[in-house]
Amino acid sequence: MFWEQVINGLALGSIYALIAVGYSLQLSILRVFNLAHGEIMMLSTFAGFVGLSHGLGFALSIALSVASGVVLGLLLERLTLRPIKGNDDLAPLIVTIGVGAMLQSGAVLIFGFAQLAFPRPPVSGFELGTAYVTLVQITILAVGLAALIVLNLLIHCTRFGRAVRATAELPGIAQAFGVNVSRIKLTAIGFSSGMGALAGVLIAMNYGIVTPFLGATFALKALMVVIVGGRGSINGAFFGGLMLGLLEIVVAGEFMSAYRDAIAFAVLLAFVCLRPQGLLPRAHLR
Amino acid sequence: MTDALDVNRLQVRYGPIVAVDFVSLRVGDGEVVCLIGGNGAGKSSIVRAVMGIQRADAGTIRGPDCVRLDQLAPHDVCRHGVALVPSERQVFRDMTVRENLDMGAYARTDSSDIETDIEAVLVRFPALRVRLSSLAGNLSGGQQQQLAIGRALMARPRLLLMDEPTHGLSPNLVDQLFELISNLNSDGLAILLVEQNAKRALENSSRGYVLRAGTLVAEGDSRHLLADPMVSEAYLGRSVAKSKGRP
Repeated sequence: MFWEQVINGLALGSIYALIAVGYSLQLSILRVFNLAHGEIMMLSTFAGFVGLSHGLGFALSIALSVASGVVLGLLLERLTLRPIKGNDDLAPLIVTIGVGAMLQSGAVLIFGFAQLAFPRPPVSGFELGTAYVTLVQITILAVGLAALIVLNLLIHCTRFGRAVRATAELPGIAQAFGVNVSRIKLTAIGFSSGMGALAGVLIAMNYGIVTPFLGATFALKALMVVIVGGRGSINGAFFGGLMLGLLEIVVAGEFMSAYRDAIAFAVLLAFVCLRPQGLLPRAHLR
Repeated sequence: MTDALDVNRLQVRYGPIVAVDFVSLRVGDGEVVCLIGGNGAGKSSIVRAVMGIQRADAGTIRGPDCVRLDQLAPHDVCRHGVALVPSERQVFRDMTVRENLDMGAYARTDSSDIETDIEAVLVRFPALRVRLSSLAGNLSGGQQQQLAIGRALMARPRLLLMDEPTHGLSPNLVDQLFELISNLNSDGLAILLVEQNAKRALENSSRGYVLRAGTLVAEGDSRHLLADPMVSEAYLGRSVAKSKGRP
């Protein structure tokens, strides 16, 4: 039972991590706290839902979901963030709140308020010692781990990654040395939105439900994870996400499941008060 | 002789504010030219316009080989032989010295020669060799300045744009800097030296332009400008309050 809870916690944590890393990339490269991130994730999850209910297979529906995430992210940058560039810092934040509200209302209009049953993959899972692990959980853990490794290699060991870090630190100077900054920004928001979409569709498969409030629930906590992990720190966001997932399931789930969210937020709040610089503080993208 | 830089009747505006008002200047191939003026005279706006960071509202900017720099995307300017040593050094502090040098060569396609050029930079700046894997943010101010110049050299420029390179340097380091500028120039590099430190800049350049409130008030042979009383007034910073440029 305990190990099953640990796996549940790590899986939930990987979801938080995938979303939080997206915020972190957007914060350091586009310099915006994208509060539409969760809603893009939610809408992309519905895209996967529509795919599944029209007979697309699981793999194709996940791909459809990720593709919608990427497209929505790119549209957000092109249609809203780029035109207001150069105005004050608050404008992009407010715009993303507005876009998020629109996306959520749109989803409510189309799909209604109620929870919808999200189809689960046919192969359910297997026994691992005393714990029962589902295929979706294994997928979530694998995706989380793969994202952590790939991002670290990409950012620290490639020419592209150097350009990304240079852009995060001094966009004007990076541009003067030949970095196409606007393309890096588009890549960053496309990649992180796709990653959010993947997280969304995997949560929906894990819990077997989807609602227009999926984004609000998960993304708000992931946003706090970004602050706990250290703004702009990819690994901090990852480990913060894993910690939150474990905390929610293992601690809160064991003792008092009704207060799960309250406990999670209380711990995050305490953390922000006691260590405002975050787990792995970095001035810039690391 | 072709020019490394030819700015013709450049105008730069920020909304209603005119920062650069029909300024023309040129830097010959292999020439050191200084552009001097006080705070807000429009020097930085000219640098920004040349690098494509700020769009020119009127006029033309030609780089080496007469390429119209003002028609390029900002990230393509460095692909036409222009490299920037930015104001206040601005190295990538969270990247290593080696990574900063690699960033200087980012736009280059001849990856095989990059190692040779890094070696050349390290010969020029031996202090950087032992710090290759240190974060640039941990270097001293003088070393950061060397790194900023080394990074620009990695782009193999024909024109080096130096934006207030003496700013914040000790007199000793300023001496070293001007020695370096003269060395770089003997290697055939054209340099536009943008400076508030007018005296030193004029002493170390062949020609100069004096900018005040967005317009050129004097230009010519650096030695003549040094002797010009109006120029000494400009570089001593009087009349700055009247400037209509951006700070």
